[in-house]
Amino acid sequence: MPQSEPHAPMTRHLRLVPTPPRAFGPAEARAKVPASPSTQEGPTDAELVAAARRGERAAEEAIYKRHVRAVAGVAARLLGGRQDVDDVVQDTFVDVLDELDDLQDPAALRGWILRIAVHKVHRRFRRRKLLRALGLWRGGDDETLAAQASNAATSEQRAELALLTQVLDRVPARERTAWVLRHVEGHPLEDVAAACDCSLATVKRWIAAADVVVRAHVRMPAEEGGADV
Amino acid sequence: MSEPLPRPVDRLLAPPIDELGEQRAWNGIEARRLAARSRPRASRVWLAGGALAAVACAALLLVWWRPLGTSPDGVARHHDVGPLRTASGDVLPSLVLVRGTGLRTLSLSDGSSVRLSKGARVRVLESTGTSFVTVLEAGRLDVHVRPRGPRRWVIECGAASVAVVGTRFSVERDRERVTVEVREGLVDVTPAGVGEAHVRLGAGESWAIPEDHPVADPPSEVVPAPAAAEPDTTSPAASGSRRGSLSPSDERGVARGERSEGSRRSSPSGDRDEGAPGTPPEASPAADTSSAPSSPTPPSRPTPAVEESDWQSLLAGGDARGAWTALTPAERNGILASGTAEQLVRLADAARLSGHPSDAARALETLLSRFPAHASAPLAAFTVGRLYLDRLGNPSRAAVAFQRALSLGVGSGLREDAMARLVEAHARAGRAADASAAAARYRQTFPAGRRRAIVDRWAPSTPAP
Repeated sequence: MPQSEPHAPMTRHLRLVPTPPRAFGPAEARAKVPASPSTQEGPTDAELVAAARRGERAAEEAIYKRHVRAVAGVAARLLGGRQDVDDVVQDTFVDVLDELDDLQDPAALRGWILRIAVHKVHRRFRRRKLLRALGLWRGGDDETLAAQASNAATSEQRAELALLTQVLDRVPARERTAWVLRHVEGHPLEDVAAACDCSLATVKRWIAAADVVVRAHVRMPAEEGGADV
Repeated sequence: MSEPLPRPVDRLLAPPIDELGEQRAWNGIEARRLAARSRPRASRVWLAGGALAAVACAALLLVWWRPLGTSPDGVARHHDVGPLRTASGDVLPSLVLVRGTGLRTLSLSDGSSVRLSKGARVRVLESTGTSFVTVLEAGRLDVHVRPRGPRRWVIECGAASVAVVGTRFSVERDRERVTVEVREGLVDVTPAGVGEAHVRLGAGESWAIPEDHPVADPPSEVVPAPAAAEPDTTSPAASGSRRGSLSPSDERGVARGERSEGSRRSSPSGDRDEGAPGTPPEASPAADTSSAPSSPTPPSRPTPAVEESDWQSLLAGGDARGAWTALTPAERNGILASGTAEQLVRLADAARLSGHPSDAARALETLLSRFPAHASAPLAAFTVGRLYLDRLGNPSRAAVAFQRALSLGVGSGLREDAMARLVEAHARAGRAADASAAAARYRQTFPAGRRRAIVDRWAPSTPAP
């Protein structure tokens, strides 16, 4: 990944950052989070990281805007609701921006951010579990994916989403996380592996194991190509 | 046929965060980072010290709290997890009986107590850390459920089910009626198989419903049967449709309602006392012409439902059609008669995904009948409604199922759909008045609901005079 000059003014790059689409209507209508930095317009993740390390605040904000939806998606889909999304997003990006110097490969920024987000989500899981065990949990029941459906989802699809939530509850946590990142959020396998802090082969195995359970109960097409997972 | 979910599923989901949320979070991030940078080092030391002190206090609190974890009646609360037990720690039998005019009081591990009288016969259907479900087959129960206990109690009594979290009440079932009397707290009474919402009774109130199934004669001896799985020896009572009305049990009676037409839940009437949970599945729907008989006979070999078999492996491997083919009628009947909630869900999935909607509906209705407090119950009821409405052409039963889903508290993601589909089911069943009433409830709950157009199509709103 090409790096920018060590002290090149970041503003030259930042002018190229396109304003992300702000359509918040039906999910189909909005732009998906870019699959990988290589498909982005404007400065690459590595360039943004370099600029942020030099203390350019605009670069930090650009990193945030580029990846915030991915982090929010991980939080909402894994935590089963939107009640803690803000907190997870803030916790994640505070760590990301404070520890940017620790990032070994700036080109792998998205996977690194997702890994921090997954870590934050798992911490909240553990906290909820403890509070529930102590009878102190006041956050209500977890939301099903059906409750997060867009207006475009049909009644049948909502029912299948509710069923999917129930089935995923039976899947081991690490397999569920990998499956959700891959097949709910649509992240590339490389990012899923980075987020789950494991090898590509391992994450493929986890996703495949969860997929078998899911497809035993929920109507979903086999993944295109098949060999991917 | 249900629509498959796309990959990635995110295409169907609303954005997890909106523009305002993004900006709010960014402001929060900046504020936190700024605060961290400007916080004096000394305050961090104080914070660390405070945290250590808090941990020490928490440890002390834990030590202090432990001896208080025993209730005044000497029942340990800290270990009140898992199945409900007797106060002495014994596992509850699956069947508890008293003879004739005898009395028997059970003190339970959570501090609750149950007194059986008038030839009471009680089966334990489900006992977990969060729910305790029994069937009162005959006789009288005086129940004291410890308030704020960990379990939701449900007492099925044929014509109704009684749900409670903490209270004192009694349930009596004889040949003619089921009567519920509340002395403290609140209980919810839900008429069986009827689309009516539950009735909530408070202290001093009572409720009665005619019992149209004769109950079995009390046994001749007190036999606490072992909880282990044994052959199901009950036979389902006749089921069918009837119309009746609730009546107040006495001058204090408060709850009254018209029972709508619908199938009755079967009432166990076996002549042997021991056995696995004995509530049989409901009768098959009118449209059902598939292979499974409506009255499952006791399996000839020991409970195949509890064994892992090829069909479950096939289903777990994604081969629903193969799983259904591998299921023998005896296995299907065994699951319907004595399977666990999980097995019933799997059986329903295998049937549904292999194109046997009536069998799927039967499995789910059995789940609803035997495990009404199970976490899967609301979604199961909703799925039953879909099957009857979309696949089996039985809107009457669909309406009952959607109403059941609503009364069971179907999740927020499906509540609106359940209310809208209830309108459709009533309308397609030719019950215009019920459809209008359901539509009015929908419009009141979701004034700008996304199913408004569908609701208006099935039950046009009438302009105010």
